[in-house]
Amino acid sequence: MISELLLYLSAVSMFVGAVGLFRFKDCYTRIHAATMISVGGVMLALVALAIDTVWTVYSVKAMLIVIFFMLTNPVSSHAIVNCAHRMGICPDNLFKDDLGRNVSRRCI
Amino acid sequence: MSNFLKQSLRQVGTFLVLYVAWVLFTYSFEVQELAVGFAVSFMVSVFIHKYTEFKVVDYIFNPFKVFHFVVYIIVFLVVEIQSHLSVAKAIITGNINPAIVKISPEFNSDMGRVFLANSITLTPGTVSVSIGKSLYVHCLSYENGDKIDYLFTKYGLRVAD
Repeated sequence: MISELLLYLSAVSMFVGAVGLFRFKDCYTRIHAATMISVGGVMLALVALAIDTVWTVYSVKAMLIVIFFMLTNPVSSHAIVNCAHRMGICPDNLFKDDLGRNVSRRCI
Repeated sequence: MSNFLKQSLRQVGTFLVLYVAWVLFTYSFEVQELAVGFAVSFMVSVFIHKYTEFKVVDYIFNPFKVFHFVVYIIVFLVVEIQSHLSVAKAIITGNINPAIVKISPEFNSDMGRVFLANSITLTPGTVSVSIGKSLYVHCLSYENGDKIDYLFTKYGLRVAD
């Protein structure tokens, strides 16, 4: 029951994230949609698996994979965004920019 | 001498954590697998403590820190759900207000700063662009005076400093 609900939520979250990947126009805002897919989609699906097979080996393994995912996912998204900023890709329509022009020269 | 003892205790703690993770992942209790896991976790723990200052073990074996960490996880889950809803709303309506905001973290240690940056990146809607003494965060929808890291700092300072 709970695991089915979580699976439906994860499917909805993946769908919304995939729509967001097409709706947003630059790489910085697309990363937010991608985070939504990986955290809300994949991790909820793994938690649903863990609840469905509770008190077995598989649930322990699924929870270990969730922990591994929580450690590695921010590293990869930070690497992508930082690399984009160092290469000089400008964020669109910034409301406020504290980092500004000292790193990406092409934005001047 | 006491420093040496502390370091060895840390190494034993790292070894135990790695070995438990190995046993949980393989979940077979044959002698071969246990021996290979023993050797590999021993080598990895020696390697870690030779080249880095790995102190996570101090937190894992401290009950107060673990309690505060559980509280932190609950707060983090609530923030996560809120930000999921707000990002979904932003995707559907298309109203975004992106900004790059500077944050001066109150954490002193490197580990605390990594903790904060990982938490910020793991919530959709905020991603850390550049990390140094101060942290630059790209937000999807930002209004003047928003404090992104308020809850993370408040509860995270009890876990790591």
